[in-house]
Amino acid sequence: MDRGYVWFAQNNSTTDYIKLSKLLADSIKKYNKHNQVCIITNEVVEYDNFDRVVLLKKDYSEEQEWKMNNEWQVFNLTPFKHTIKLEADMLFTANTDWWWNYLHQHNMVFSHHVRCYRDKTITHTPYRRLFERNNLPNVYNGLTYFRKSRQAQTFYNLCEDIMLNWSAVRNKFLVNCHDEQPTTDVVYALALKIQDPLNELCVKYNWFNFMHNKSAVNGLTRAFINDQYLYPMQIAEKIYVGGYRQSRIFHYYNKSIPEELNARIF
Amino acid sequence: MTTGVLLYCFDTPEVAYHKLAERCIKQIQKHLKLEITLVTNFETFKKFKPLGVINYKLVDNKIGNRRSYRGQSITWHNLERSMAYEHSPYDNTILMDCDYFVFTNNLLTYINTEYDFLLHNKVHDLTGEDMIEGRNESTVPIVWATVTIFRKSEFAEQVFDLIKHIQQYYRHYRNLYRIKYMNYRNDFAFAIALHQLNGMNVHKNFIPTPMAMLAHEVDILEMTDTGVVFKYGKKINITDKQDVHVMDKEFVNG
Repeated sequence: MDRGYVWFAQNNSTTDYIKLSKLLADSIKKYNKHNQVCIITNEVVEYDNFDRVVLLKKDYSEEQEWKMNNEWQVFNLTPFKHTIKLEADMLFTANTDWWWNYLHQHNMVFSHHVRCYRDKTITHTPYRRLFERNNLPNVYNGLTYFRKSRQAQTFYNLCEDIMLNWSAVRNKFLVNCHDEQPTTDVVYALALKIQDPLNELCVKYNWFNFMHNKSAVNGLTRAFINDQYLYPMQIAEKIYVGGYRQSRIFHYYNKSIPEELNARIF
Repeated sequence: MTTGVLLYCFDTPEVAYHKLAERCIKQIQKHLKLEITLVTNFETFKKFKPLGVINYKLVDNKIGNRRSYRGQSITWHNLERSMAYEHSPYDNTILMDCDYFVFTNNLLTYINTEYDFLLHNKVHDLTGEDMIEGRNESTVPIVWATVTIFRKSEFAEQVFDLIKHIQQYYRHYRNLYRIKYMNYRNDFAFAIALHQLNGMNVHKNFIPTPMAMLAHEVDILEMTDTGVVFKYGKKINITDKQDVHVMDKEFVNG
């Protein structure tokens, strides 16, 4: 089966996403037998653990600091028939080869909700008030499966329309949305709601989600700084957060976490 | 297979725990009808009135721990519980605080399960105010060592061995797990031990129902045959045929 992991890696003024991508690719190779990796970027990169590097023909995020306007292109640019789309600021902590056996039976599978450091499913966070206000599905683009299919093509065409016509969409389709530029999660959620308003195509797998290392997801009040309080650390090859061994995909918000983990290897 | 209840009771200058234990034992004899072993020190032992057929184990308890109670810092002798595996003469043990009062035989349900070790991870505040469980008290969620049911087994022995280790190096573990409280609490030591022995991951060594509880702020007015009468602020209420953990240590003084 032609399958692999794909994500976008475009550096901005603060974050070296290519560097983070190398760590993600390393972690995928470390844990998985089915470990084909492809990054989509705007510069030539050579790295052994990148099996494919796809260059953007047109960069729709050229003017943006937070480069998300190209995300809809993933359907056209992925070299795989079966794709798991990720984000660069993630790390694998366990084998996920068995996922393909379930995922390949569907056209698209979205990750609904996220997990906290204690592996509890978190359905409500203050970061998702816009979703609740607009009754959007609580999906996360950071972990999405699709196969080359009409359904996936229609979905990403919708994403393209939404992203390239953002100001009109924001004003006409969304309530209380003041985002100057489209964010991928909102675009995904809106496209999904337009494509499948009755959730007839919805496939929810309880295991298909990631640990989101943000303070409100982890149940911390504002008195605590997430990474100081939970103190992510690495013991041998395992990542621990707040004393809990992580076994999901670890999605970090603080981009210096890999360096901090590296400094805390026991 | 023998089954019995293990209690720890040490009087302190501030609290006459032996009076609580007398009430607790009476309830156990009435509802659980199990053999009882009481671990105490000689000073406390001398104060007990005759309690029927129960086993006593006299120890020299460790001292030095303190707790907060109704705005005061008071003495707390809670360091012997880590020895429960050695102190218990039973195959199946219900280890219980002497301020936990049974009014049913519900705990018997949990004796012959597939779990070698069970305790509560949730409490139910009977006042409805939810004033017992705080937020962000530690990175590992609290469990309640008030009622612990364990079977003599490799796992339970490992749990108690680890609790002893945690108790010895509690300062380190308190920092590691960001525990808010300065004093040693068995609740956190038990939580850490179970967390670590279950691979630093979620586990299921829990009694499925929450533990009914009345906080420090609640006064116990009376204990009847079927429950307790309690007062919180201007409200008075009763429990009926429900096991309850009572934090008010003074109601037994009359």
